Amino acid sequence: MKKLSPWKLSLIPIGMFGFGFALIPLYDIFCDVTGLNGKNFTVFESGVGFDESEYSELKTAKLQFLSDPESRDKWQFTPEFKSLNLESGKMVTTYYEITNTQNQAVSIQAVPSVAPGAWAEYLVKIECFCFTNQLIEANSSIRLPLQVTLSAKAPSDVNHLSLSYRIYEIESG
Amino acid sequence: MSEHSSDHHGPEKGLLRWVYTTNHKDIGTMYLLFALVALLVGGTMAFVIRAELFQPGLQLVDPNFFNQMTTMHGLIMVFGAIMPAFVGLANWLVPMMVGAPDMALPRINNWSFWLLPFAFGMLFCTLFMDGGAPNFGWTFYAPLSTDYAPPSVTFFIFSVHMMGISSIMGAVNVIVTIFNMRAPGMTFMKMPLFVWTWLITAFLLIAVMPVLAGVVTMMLMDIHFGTSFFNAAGGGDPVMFQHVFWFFGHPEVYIMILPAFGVVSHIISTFSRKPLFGYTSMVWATASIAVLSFIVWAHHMFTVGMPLVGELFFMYSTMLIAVPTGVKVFNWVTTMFKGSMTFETPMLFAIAFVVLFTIGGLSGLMLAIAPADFQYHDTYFVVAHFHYVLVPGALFSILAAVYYWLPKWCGRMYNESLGKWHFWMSFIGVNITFFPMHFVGLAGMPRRIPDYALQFAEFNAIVSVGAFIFGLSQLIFIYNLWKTVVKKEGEAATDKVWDKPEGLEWDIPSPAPYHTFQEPPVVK
Repeated sequence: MKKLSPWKLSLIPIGMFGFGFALIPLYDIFCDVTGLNGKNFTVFESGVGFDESEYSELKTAKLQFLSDPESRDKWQFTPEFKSLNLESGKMVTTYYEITNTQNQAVSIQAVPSVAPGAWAEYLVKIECFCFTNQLIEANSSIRLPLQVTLSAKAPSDVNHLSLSYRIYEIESG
Repeated sequence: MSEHSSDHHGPEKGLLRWVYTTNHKDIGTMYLLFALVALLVGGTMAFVIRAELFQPGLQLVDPNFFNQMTTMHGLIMVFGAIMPAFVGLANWLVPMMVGAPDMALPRINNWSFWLLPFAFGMLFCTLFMDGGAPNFGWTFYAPLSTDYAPPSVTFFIFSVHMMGISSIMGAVNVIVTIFNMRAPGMTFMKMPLFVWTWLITAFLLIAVMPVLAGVVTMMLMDIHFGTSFFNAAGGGDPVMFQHVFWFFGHPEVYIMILPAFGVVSHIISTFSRKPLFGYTSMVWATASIAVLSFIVWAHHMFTVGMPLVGELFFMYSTMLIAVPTGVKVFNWVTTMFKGSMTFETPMLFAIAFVVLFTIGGLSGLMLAIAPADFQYHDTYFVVAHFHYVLVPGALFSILAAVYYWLPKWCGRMYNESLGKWHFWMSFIGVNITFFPMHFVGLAGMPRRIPDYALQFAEFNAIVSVGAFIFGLSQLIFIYNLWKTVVKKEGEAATDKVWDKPEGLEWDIPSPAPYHTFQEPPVVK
């Protein structure tokens, strides 16, 4: 009778130890080949709903800068320009001015609102004073920066957007 | 020295005998005693858990220590109690059942055992280290077990390496023994079922324990050597940990139950006084369960966000396992059907195994339903399920095996009425403990928590009472063992012990001599 050699048998556990490590790339290959998800890059590379022509076309829209009436009265919160033309892929930097008339420094939070709401996703804010709290010294004015662009994904009927802010004072302490 | 002049010699004298021994019976005994100690240690930890959960609120231990208790309880019971107990049974029984004088690799056998006290000693010491013992659950999911682990995790990793090496060597030993050392005439399809189930278990062990070793090695490298296997910040993937872990983890579940199937098949056949119904189908069912166990792992991870095809594949493949398992349950019931049954302690444990393991299997089917699993996942329903298959499943079969073969091992009958007390207290305790867990789980009580919402209070109090009944009734078992083995009370066992049991182990005298089958028997 041919005997089973324990040395030969030991190759199985040694091989399986390696197989445990091989599982890491194997899972990636498996997901790649079968197209099952699990990793975001497969979704990105296969480009679900991605049409390059959308990006090649230049989009433009007029962006109107507004401020909430109450904020305008209390903080003299006003935009640098009433409106600007946005072009897809081109950054626009502009400012709002705000004045603190109180005798002490205050911290404020601006809350934005975009109209029409359905198109809000096409207005891309790169930098905005509304991302963080802003400190204003007593009896002083500061310029609050804002950097926006129009998304290249915007459909061609997006021709007009308006951006408005309301200012809230943060309770201190 | 007169002992050396004789070819026939018994065990060496003194305690060092146990260190140097290469005898399969000595090593089997040590494995079983080790498992008993681990059972008591893990059981004490379960007492801490159940005492804390007796009432809502935090009474006894702080949540971090509670997490250490759940983690250590799981690790010690799985790797320290159930698995070594089955290896102990294999050591005692496989050579006697196939008519071999010893295991094929006796020195490797000695080493396999002696790795365990060191592995578990190290694991146990983590309780006293800075930051405490591992607290991330016995499944040690990354990043809980890597980025957020206590410093003792490194000791945990090395102890898993050591117990893995021990298991792999033990499994290689079993396979080589079964392949090479069967008595003349014993073909594969004449092997006793315990030998068959252990052979398949051993193949599962050598296939998946190295994957476990691999996954802890990856953790070690992530923690200390700056790799990013499971670290998303470095391009790795924490969900990958779960995939690799459960690739080991699911076959591991069957490693803990297949030998139990073998044990129960022997006992039910003996006490029904009928040959086992459907021997061939038992062998094939065991083999198909083992094969299927490799393609179902992700049913532990239905909620991680798998694609729908994945959920469906793992749902159907898991449910497929119910078919061979059903074949087994059918065969056991049919073996008992119209048999002239008697209900000695091993038979009681074996029948309880069939009934309660089936309950555990049924809740497993419920968990396999992917859409329903989103409700059950990580609740006490899961705790109830796996305790039903591991406690009245695996543990009951081990207890049944000890009662069944103990007279052969030590030459004395155990005390039958103490055995019956042990059985009934365990049976009642186990059901009071684990059955209400189904209810609180379905009502939404999460697992691994030291405190819970007030509506679960009554059921948890009942569960804790049941746990103490079950735990303390194991002392009856230890007292019975002590009376039989140490005090040598109880009548001397005959060579056959039971009424016409089948198998080569009943042809040798009771107690089994230190060396058996020096001349291989011939099997017709």
